[in-house]
Amino acid sequence: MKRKENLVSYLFLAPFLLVYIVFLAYPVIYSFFLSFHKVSIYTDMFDVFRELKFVGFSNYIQIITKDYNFWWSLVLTFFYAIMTIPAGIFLSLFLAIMLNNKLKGKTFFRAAYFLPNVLDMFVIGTIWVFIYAPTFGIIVRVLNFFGITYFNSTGLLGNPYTALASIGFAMVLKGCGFGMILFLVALQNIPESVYEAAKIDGANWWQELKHITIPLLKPVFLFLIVTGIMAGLNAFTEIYAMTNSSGGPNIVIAGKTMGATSISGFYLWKQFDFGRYGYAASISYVMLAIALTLTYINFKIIKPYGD
Amino acid sequence: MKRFLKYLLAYALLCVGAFIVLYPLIWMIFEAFKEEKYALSIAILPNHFTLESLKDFYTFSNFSKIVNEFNFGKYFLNSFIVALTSSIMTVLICTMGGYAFAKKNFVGKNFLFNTFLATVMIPGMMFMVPQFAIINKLGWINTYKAMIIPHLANVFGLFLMRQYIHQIPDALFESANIDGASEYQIFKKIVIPLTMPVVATLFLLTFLGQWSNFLWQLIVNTPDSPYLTIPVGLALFKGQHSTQWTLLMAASCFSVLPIAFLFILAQRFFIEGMTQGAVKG
Amino acid sequence: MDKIFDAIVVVLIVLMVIWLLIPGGGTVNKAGTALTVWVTYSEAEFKIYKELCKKFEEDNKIKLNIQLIPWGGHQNKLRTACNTKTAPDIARIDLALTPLLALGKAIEPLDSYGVGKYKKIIVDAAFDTNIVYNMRTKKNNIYGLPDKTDCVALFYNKKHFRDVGLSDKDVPKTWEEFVEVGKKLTVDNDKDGLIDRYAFGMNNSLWWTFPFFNSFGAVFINDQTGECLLNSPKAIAALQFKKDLFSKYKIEAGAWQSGAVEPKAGFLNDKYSMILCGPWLIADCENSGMDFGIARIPAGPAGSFSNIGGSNMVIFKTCRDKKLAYKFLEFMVSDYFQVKWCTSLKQIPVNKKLIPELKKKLGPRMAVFLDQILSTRSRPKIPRYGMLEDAVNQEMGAALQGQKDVKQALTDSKIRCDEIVKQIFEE
Repeated sequence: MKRKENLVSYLFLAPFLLVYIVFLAYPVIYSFFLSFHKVSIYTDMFDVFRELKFVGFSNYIQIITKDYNFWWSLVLTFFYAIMTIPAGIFLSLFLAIMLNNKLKGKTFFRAAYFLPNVLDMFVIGTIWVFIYAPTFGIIVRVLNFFGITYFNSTGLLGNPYTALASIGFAMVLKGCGFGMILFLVALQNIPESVYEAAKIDGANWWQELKHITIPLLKPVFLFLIVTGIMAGLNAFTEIYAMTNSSGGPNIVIAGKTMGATSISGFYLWKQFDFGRYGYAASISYVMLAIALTLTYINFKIIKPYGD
Repeated sequence: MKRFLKYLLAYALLCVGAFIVLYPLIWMIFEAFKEEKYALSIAILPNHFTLESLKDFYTFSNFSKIVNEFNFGKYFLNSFIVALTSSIMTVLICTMGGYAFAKKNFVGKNFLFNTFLATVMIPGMMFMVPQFAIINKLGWINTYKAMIIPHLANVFGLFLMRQYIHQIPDALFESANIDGASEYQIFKKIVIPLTMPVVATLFLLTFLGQWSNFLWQLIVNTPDSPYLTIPVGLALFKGQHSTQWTLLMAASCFSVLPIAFLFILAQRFFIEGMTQGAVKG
Repeated sequence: MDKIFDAIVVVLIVLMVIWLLIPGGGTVNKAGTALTVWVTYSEAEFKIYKELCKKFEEDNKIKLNIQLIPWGGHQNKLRTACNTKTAPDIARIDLALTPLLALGKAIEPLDSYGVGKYKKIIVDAAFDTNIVYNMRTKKNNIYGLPDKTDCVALFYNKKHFRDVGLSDKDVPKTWEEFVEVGKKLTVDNDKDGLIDRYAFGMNNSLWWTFPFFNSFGAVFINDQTGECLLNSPKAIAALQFKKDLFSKYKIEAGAWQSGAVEPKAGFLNDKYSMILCGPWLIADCENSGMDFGIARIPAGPAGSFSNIGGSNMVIFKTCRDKKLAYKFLEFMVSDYFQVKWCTSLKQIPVNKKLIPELKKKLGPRMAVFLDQILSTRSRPKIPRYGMLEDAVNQEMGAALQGQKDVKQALTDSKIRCDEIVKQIFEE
């Protein structure tokens, strides 16, 4: 019996596993291997594999001990995630609950909130840059009307303290439609009878939300948090599109200059772009270690499947 | 009265929000109708509202150029084939995998799942070179296969399906087992119908991902490949120093259309709640 | 119904397996062609390019396989192509890519083909971008020929000049005059405290700062030793001046800040009266119906010097017919090709001899660029140059924002650059 279940499971898993092994597992191992090597500028580009220089842990040591830009990027990524993930989830849930009603025109609104997901980051970036811009920007003009002139010369993206939050805000608005759909699907799945029973017990909407809706949506929360972490680690196009590809305004801490929006995905992408494959691979493994720890803690806290 | 006010507030909020998130799209559409000389202006309307200035500001020529001169139809067809095939196959593969992970116990289950999850924490760009090396070894350069197959092992999708299938009550499967249903029948009769809403979601997301996957589709095709797709075609409008905004935006409008259409179609499946009765269990 | 479904599943599976097993796919080099050439032109340029290349095909009785690849992504595409040995025979590359491909042994040194004779013929700075110094072998080699060269000059809005009572004669010739004119051009029409029009919009990045460094006589990096020289008094004076435009004279809009309206967009939208930009902006300005003029970079203590941009044609190591490929590169810098190319597309010729002739043909606006291109300075040819650029951009940004003083920022730049250069060459 046990053996049969194993066999059946692996049969169901076979297509996924096959593609995974060929197109993901091999590259994962390859880049792990790469992370202990250096790709020198003298490495023959037609034969990178043969001319790799083995350097042991030196990439990792360099990242951990010397690369303050990387650590800074991690701090920023952390802030970025803290800002965007809860805000995104909250907004998605809010929209889903609103649009789960018998509201007229809900089909339109659902489509409206989902559509920005389709747009090229560049189009979104252009618009938000104009909204946040110094002097001519809409927000600066509005703030001036209320007598706030603090942002006049920098705008919101040029100010090191608001730049990342501004990008995060735009991204939350762009991405909330995605979470909304997942919540809607899950909400539809909660049988009406559960609510009816609660109504009979005299529960108000808040109690319903707290005791029925949210616990039943737990798997979606977990999914959105995990994918949110992934998106946070992978984020770079939004930074690229909204900061003139510079990594944002600068911040000087203890004499070191660092980009205020240079989050780790952006930083990694730059290293990759420079052709430092070995170093980039090591960075991604350090990031992986951190991400796994966080995800593990998450699973422990949320306990999506009970104990 | 109170109820009315509540509705009014809800509508006001939703409308303002929708306007903000849709503004880039609105801008894109207006941009697509602009004359090239106004391309870089953020304004979507001309300064004066006379017939003359409207004529001067807007044009249809961008669209006709896209269709006639840039062979957009070919790009569109290729993108469509790639995205459609990918989505169908991804959904199938992920549903099968997700079912195994959600409802079966097998050796190495947790290890495999954690490994899968860990893989996606590594930014995809790290895999580009080795993946391309494999494609090259297989002789898949300039094929649909090269664009479709490497992305089929979609861990996101697997995770999503697992989360969802996990919620289907075990009782359903047990009673099917007692009735002597084969695994294939269980999958066909229980898993697929009950996961329709999330299947539609995953389908949509995969479609979206493939529809805008620029770098990979650029790399696996030689420039004269007959299989070039929309993102690669769009990139040709962006030069070293200058970009043909109006043409780019006109083409983008075309590329947004199928997604919008697909969304409205998919909504039926994932929101109309066709599964309600069954899941109660 | 059930049976039909099952049948469909079986058929689909069979079809899929067949599809997977069918061999297919193409190769980079099309059969029957002598050379594969990847270029990154715009559609308009590409049409003319193919037309012009026909002469080469006829003269040599061969067929070329000319392919267009998008500019964005061409670096990644070429690198992956090299890594998997699927490179074309010839490619047009951004000049910053030359050192990387050269030291990575991906492209062919052309010295033995007699490319040295072009040193006198080609615009100096453009030719120079093809010379790469190898610190290991202590040798200079020439790796390609430029197909296009660019530099920036000063664009100004004539209407804005007239608005404040200035004329073409008042266009600044030196940086001092620039400040004076700039003060007049910066205006707050409705007196609400927010400036409505700035005299100048500038970028922060290193490439856009070279006109300042160069006209103040500052050098970025010594090509032979790799030492960064940005802490020199000249460089400090140049950056201090640039910073003053924004913070002291207040004639610059802060366009360099991330998220600000960038100079080009600001100029076209009537927000900035003057910007530095290259010849590619001319068409945009003309299209927008704006009344504008172009002048040389204002002169600093060292004169009026610009930066250099553009692209080079290179031959890959795996090229099928290197002699023919070199002949093709020569063809692209020949008088025949250059005259037709530059007149039909309004571009700066790479061939110095043609400049006087083309000045007349291309009109007064382009003439400024043809003039300016002779006083430009090459930039350092170091692989992974972007790493240096990033570090310096950050420090200069901090200086412009007022988080560091200029001297400190440039000293830090020097320290970081020296470290990076060491790292680049040791790694």
